[in-house]
Amino acid sequence: MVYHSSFVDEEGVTKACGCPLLPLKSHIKGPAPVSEQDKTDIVDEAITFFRANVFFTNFDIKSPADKLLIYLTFYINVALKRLEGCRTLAVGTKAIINLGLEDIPVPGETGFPFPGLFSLPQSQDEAELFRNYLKQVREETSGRLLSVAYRANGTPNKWWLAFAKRKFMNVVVL
Amino acid sequence: MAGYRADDEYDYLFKVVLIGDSGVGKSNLLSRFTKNEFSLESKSTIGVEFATRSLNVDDKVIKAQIWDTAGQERYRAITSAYYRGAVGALLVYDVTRHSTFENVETWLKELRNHTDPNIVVMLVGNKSDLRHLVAVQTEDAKSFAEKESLYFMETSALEATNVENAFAEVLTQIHHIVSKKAMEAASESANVPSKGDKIDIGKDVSAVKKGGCCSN
Repeated sequence: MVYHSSFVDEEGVTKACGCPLLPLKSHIKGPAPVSEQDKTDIVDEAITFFRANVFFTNFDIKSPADKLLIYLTFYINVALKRLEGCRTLAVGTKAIINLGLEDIPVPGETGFPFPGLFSLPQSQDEAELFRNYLKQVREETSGRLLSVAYRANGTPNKWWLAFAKRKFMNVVVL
Repeated sequence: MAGYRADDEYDYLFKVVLIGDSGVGKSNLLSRFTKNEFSLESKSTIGVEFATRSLNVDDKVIKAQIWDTAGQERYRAITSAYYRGAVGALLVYDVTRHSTFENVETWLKELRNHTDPNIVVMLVGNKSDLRHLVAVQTEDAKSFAEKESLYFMETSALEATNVENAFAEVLTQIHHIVSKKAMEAASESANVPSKGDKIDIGKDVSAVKKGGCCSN
């Protein structure tokens, strides 16, 4: 059974493309509301659940937050592939920064990994809002992933980098 | 072989970031310091680069890991991973372009937002070799640095003026801060034994039931 997001209550949460823009414990600029530091946010869930959820080829969606969880699980998988072969935290950081500089597609655009998972944007404003949110949540995820993928002394944690070889939901990663 | 030390052996690894507007000479400061090279070709940095160099500070081997990034607006949202773990920063402007000095405040805010408050920051006025084109007065920059509690130097990556000094100063100050913290931590741990409970070795242990794999 896959692990699901606990962010089920949607009251008061802004949405874009059917995705709730959930709060983040983050200093990074973007449309996400700021969460308190002592709470779990969607990024914590994505990282905590990653090594279990990545094995599943089917993911029954129980709430819109699960859609974001699927996206982040995929993103972590992509990020780990970039970290494959990076023998030090510094090289890994450079790879993850370069990943962060790439264009971020939104639903309906070429390269968006899960057609049909989110609804198409109804306007350019909605598309940009979602793009900015994805950029923010991806960057926050990258930072925390580096903390678990590399040890304090800068060497790789093989229990994490081994998952670079997994394919999530049979989505081909270039 | 007492003086021998392997290339990758060091006492401290310090991450230092270079920030500032595009074209102020960040990449040439990096290459001058780490490889003693200067390039007249003004090619913009894409993404990030880093290089390392070791030097001695107070009999310790410091491995400096210097990070360089693009200053263009398009890359301005450089990821927080760039700043992560940085203990020093060189905030670079071009002495011949006043706008690059005006943007120093914006870069400083960005830096403060992503790094530890104790980070060692040096304001660096690069291209000091272009004396006839100077647009930022030394006194103005020095005054700003004092107000913001920054170190300050004017450099020329082209002439290698003060480049070594700028990095050495930042790394030395980082080392002082780190050493001071290590000393404070050591003096705290020295008090630990006296806090321990007394161990009563006179307690009778014969009451403990004997057991084990050899028991009947």
